[in-house]
Amino acid sequence: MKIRNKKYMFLLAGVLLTGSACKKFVDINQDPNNPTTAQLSLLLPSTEISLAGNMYQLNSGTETIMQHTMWSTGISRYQQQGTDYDDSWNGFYSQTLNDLESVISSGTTQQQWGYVAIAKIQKVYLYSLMVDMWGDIPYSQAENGAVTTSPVLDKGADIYEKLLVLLDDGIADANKITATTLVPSTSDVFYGGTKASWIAMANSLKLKMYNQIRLVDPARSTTAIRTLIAGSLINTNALDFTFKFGSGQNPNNRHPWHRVEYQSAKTFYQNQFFMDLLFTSDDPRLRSFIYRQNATAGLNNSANSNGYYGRNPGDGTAAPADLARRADFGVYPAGGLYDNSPINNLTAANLYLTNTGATGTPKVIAVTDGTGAGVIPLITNAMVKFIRAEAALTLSTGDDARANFSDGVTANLNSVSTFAVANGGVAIPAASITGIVARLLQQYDAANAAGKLNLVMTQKYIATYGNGMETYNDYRRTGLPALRGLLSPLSTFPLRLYYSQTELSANTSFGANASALQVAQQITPVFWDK
Amino acid sequence: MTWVRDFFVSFNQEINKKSNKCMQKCKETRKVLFIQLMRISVLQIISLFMFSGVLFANPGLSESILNKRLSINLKNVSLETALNNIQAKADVKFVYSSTVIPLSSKVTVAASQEKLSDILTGMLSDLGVNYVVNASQYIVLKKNELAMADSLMINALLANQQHTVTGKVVGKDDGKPFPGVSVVVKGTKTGTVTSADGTYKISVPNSESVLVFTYISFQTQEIAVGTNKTINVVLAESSNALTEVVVTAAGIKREKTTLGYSVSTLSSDKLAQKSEPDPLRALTGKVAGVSIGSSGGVAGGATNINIRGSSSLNGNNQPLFVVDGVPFDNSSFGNVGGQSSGASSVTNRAFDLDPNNIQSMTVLKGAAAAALYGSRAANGAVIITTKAGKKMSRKGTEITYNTSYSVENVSGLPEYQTKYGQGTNNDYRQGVYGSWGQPYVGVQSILPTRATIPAQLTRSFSSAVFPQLYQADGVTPIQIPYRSYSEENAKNFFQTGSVYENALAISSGSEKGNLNAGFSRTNNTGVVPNNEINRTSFNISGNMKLDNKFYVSGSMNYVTTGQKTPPIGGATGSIMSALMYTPTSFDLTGSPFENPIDGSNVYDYTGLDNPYWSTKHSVSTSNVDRFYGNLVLGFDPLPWLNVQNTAGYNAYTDRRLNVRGKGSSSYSNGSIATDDIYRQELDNTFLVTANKKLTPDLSLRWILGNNINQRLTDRKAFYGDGIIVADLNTITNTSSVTPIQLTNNRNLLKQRYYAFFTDITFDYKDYASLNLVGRNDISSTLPANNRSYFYGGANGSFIFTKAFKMDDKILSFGKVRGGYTRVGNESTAYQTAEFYLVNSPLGATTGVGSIGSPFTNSNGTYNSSTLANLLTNSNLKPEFITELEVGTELQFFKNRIGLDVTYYNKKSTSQIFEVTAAPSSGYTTQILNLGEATNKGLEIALNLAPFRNPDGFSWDISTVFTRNRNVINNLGGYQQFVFGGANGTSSVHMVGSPYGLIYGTAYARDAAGEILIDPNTGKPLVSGSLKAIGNPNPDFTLGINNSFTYKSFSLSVLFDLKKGGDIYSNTVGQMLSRGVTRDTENREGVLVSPGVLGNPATLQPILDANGNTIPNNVAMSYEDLFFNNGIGPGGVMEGSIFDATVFRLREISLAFQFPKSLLKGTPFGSGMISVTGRNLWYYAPNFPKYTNFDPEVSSLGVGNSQGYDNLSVPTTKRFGVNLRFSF
Repeated sequence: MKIRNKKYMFLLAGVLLTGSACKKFVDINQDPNNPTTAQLSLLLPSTEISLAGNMYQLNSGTETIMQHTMWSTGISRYQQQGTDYDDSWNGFYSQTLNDLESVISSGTTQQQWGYVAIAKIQKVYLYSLMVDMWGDIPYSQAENGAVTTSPVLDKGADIYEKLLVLLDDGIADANKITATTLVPSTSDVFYGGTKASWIAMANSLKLKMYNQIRLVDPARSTTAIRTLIAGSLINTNALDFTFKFGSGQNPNNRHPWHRVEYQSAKTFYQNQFFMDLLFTSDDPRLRSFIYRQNATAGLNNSANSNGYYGRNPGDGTAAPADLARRADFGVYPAGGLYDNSPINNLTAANLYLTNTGATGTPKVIAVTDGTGAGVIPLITNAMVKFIRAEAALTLSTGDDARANFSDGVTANLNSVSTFAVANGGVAIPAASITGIVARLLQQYDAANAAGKLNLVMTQKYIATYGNGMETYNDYRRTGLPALRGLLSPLSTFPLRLYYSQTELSANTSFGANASALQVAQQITPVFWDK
Repeated sequence: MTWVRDFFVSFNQEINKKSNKCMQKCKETRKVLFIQLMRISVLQIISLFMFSGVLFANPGLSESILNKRLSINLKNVSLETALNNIQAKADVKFVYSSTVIPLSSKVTVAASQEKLSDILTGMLSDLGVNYVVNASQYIVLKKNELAMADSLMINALLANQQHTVTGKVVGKDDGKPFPGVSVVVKGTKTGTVTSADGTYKISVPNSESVLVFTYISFQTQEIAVGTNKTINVVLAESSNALTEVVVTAAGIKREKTTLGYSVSTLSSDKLAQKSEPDPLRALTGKVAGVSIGSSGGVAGGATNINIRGSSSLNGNNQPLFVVDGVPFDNSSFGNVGGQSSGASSVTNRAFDLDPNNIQSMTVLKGAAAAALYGSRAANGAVIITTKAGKKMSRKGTEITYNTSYSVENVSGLPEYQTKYGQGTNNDYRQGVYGSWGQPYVGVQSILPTRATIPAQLTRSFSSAVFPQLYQADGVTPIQIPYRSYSEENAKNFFQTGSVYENALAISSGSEKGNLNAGFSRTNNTGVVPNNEINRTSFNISGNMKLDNKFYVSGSMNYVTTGQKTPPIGGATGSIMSALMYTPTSFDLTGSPFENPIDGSNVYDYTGLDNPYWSTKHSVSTSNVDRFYGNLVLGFDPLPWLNVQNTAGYNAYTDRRLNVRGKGSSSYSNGSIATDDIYRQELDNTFLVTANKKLTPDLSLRWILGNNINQRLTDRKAFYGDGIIVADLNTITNTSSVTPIQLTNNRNLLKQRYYAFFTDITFDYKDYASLNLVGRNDISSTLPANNRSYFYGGANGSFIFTKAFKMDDKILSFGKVRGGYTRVGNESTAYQTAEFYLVNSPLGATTGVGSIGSPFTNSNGTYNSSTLANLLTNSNLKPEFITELEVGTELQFFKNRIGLDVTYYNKKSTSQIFEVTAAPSSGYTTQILNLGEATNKGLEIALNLAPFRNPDGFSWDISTVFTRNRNVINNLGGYQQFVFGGANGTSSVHMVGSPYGLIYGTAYARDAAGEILIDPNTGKPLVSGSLKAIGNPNPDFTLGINNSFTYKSFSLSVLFDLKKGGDIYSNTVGQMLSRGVTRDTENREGVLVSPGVLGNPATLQPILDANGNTIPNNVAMSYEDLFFNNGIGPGGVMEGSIFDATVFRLREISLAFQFPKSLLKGTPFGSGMISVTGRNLWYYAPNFPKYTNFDPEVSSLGVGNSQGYDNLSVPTTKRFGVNLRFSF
């Protein structure tokens, strides 16, 4: 019996020993793959890259609505779905804005005002854009998953007010930095950390926002814009707030339009309206914007045209096998090929879109064509000039509408030309630029007030190619330019975009209204859309 | 005739004499056997050497017993006392009949270090008693025949004569000698056991004696002696389920009759030899409560298994697999990298088990059965005993060889229409992947027919590539006949597949221990070219009783599985992408698929690879090396106490190569991704078992246990962009290589737990049993304050027929059982702390909106870090499943009718699940710890034996019925959660609805449920948001197996029925919308879709002046209906939802057992040949008739998202021939 007890004692001792080692044994739930903290210098570039990366659906969809291109026939026919922009919505909130909040909160704690300033300015840019797109969106309760996973929708107008305050905060934070750079150049994809550039961008953003809401309270916008045009704005192409993609394929850093179109499976059609607009107005930017794979393809895949084979807005018919024949994105902004082939039906009246020096032949584009290092023009010098022109024409800002119009056109022609040259294209001769501007000013001078605004907005529409969000805003604010009627619309012109289906399904604050709320987006104007 | 009898009597006497020299004879027999076997194979010889050591040890041992020397001094004691004394001193055992041996006779023994043989001889010879040592080391005492003759001469002719009976016991299955069978004279202590050659010799007191032959798990036989001197016995394996011993959780063996819960066991003959290389698929239709989902006709496709419905909302719902006492990982890792070949084509790792090597498979269905396994068996457990791990090997050597060969073909292809070719709007149109074109010549039609078309490939390929397709000018395409190829295109693409299996198993054993070894090889070539899976496995195991109350056993298995597959399974670029709806006028078979200049893809469908090209150039591989084994060390310190430790190891590496060939149309540079997955599991279980009779009627078994477990997954994946030399599939042959980030960069995952448990069973008499179970887990995956959690339950059974001693004429057996159990479940690793991702892709998760990191543009290179989109939960609590289970087992008319009914109600609460988060919260997924779901179900097994004649015709029917109803009761305030899915659809949990509904675009409807129709187009309007459009959960499943045996023939036929359950079928949707099947043949008219007119902007019905809805009055063509967003499957996803009810002839097998006479003179002890057919016929009534679609496919493989067919490979049917020989 005693011996047996000893045996049990050993057993018990064994169990107890195991017990003391047990805590360590199960203390292994630390993720060995990922850090639990992040440096501001790594977070900030993440916000800038994801801002552009998440824009693909939103930009392509609004470009389609605005007849710059045609990404989806459903959207082209004004029929929206909850999955159309869900990647953009989901990514903006879960990546870009989430990381921006991280930068703002930990940057504030660490008194890294340069990071905080850039983060606040970007936050204002993105949130204001999102209000423009969707109207009422989560703001005050957003980005706080630990507290609520179902943030309520805030009114767009209220968000705008808060953003204008936040923008001033951001500028104030930037001014706490005395150096010329806010952050190290390796942490800022847009401006390499340059303080003056960010201040100019912030002011231009404010200008854009006040112009956007000018119909709500014209007097307030007038006052604000008067102040802004006296200060520092984006006033050279070098200061453009533009996201520049890279040419790497692995990891893939290319412009999404290049990625999706410069392979044999394609998604887009080019828009017949836009191509016709440039073609008939003798605009040499057509060669940069559009690349023809075939010299004679035309509407409905015919074979006796000029190669500018696209689709009319609202054409919902099934696609024939024309992937190797469609006209496609050119060098600007997608980073594809410059179309240097003769156009077979140009008239002798054309002065600037000509076959002079057109030595190329159309080819079927492949992934090896072009660099893919395209751009998304977010707020450019040209856009700022056009905003000033529009404001001068519609509000009494005291600005020179004609000069701004002229500067805007010039800035964009130069910008496109420079980009084309840098990416294997051909420059628009300086004489052509002055000639085009002179011709436009002639039309401008001859036009009445409405005609002047139409000219400004139409030129802005062309100059903003590659950024569907702004043209969509401009159209809803001014009704310009006049778009082509749809072939077979499925709905009315969407006044707001559909919410992300993911948000609708997962956000309990929508409740049972989710479906009705979604349908109402189509016909409910944004607060500034009077 | 008496001379005949006399001859036999004398012959038998001769035999009897010889049997005294048994050892000698056995040796001779073995030598003969040995020589015979030498002819067979080297492997066998090697094994035989190993076993012969065990066998030949016996004679030596028995002699050594008698050579034991001992001192003993007894005066005038009874023989019984003397024997007991020797028994204690020499550690030997005597076997004798008290009626024969004069136990009370006085003997005197005085010996000092004398041999036992001498002592015994001296002591017994005067009493006329002989002795012999038998194979089991017993010393058998017998009355000396001569002495008997002297003393009992007078009674010699009387009926009550005490005489000796000899005989031989053989096994029924193999006809081989059966050693170790206990032979006892009923009602006495007299007994013996059969020797190695199956013979026995026993003295019986009189002719009214009855001999009882028993062996565990074999049918006990009782034979009246009468005047027989020779009684030969054939022992059959016990088929009576009522005395079945089953392996329950933690390896505890219990009699099935005493269990308080339902378990199902399938023996090897139900699994092996069925032309089904996947052990899980072989289960289909055979076990109530188990649902098996296969992914169509992919060789090595994933198989989803579910027991009693899905209860975890988002976590793992697969049962735990336990092989020989050690958990066996059954993961199915999805592919990563450039080209996804679809989840369904990646096998789940239970495939590494060879059905030929499975001795038995026990399904522990409910929480009660599986509680001891803890968390991981919350969804039930499948306990597999391999042949390598079986303990109860009969003594002697057995070599079994199985071989089978099956051919497989696609089970059903659609009936294609042969009237209209490629095009739209009744017009031939090049490159359009619809067959709504012009009719062919000779077709009765109001439309003009067409005779020729320009060669299709000229659309994309110039005369430089295919000069033969151009006229002499090199510009004008040649004209080719416009005719139908629809009946050949898909049919010619699929090939005849095969399954070729070879398995060799060797087992040998003795009283002390045994050894098993096996080798098997399975080669399954799929119906898709270049899709195959091979499995080679080796195993060896043994167990040994040691002299000092210890025993030890162990097993080691090595499996290597190689899988090869072109892109399959619904992903874009899959060979199935367009195959089933190839334009009817395109000659897929005859058209070239490789560019003669650079070998790149040639196809008329832009952006997709020609399936022939893919099967040649984009073949991905997976090579698995798996080791698993265990070591069991046990100790029986006291007769009622057992201590046992089982240590197990189970690990594999899966080396994958995912190839998108150079020249692919989806990415002409091609790419190669490598993915090395290492999965390891270590497990240790320590058990102390006490078995005590508390009173004569009440016995207790108490188990205390400890279980420690660690799981590790280490995965490394790389993407190589741009293949340099075509078809050289190694990642070094690419122009740049970057690491692939897995979801949340979780490459390395490690989790552990340890647990203490107890299992207490009270058995009252032989009819009542109560079992209490408790377990406490401590898991690494939960926060420190919540990581320890206790759970358990109680269950019991009561055999009322025995308790009330009921008349067994009608109800021969009746039992009720019930239990209530709660099981806790842990989380997965690293779900409690927030984390950042370094240089992860930014922007959209996939597609062109995703920007790779590090990011480089003209300004420089930027490293980045982003907060992960997973909202972790630092306060996680374990989830719990509670289950109430009640059931009854009834046997009528002496087991002619058996009924087993189980009802369960399973509730899962505080679930841990990862769901989609509202992105505006800053996260896209979140870990929740709430919610409640219930599964209620009924399982019925009904067995009928209309005819039962052991020598003649027998007919058995076994029926299993399963019905499960699940409901999501609560999602913690949320109304729905969306997850999984394919091709734009997904799955959704909705409060108040069944588990995992199919979620997608739906028709807009009015309040009355009428579809709203656009008055401008006549087409249906699409609802504003996605909706639940189908319920994939079946109403019930039914399997009916009929088996017939007649003499050496046996036939079994298994039908099954799956009633209800929706499937989203993109295959059917595409075939209809592309107008390729006969369903859309009659198309030259217009029709009006049902529905009412609606406003496209508001999605409200348009009302007439009276406020009533207006029925649709807009007509459209058939093509629009199906192809262009009409009401058919080509538009809204809701149109592609079908009811997946299917009847099926699952399995038919005819076997023939070679008669002994045929095998005489061959080395084979027994032989069997069978022919098997699988999935020979099916009928899915609710699919469009001519699609001939078999809904038993799943594009998503293993997981909770089910009910999707996204262009799956069709199912296959198999015919096989199987041979089994044992030596």
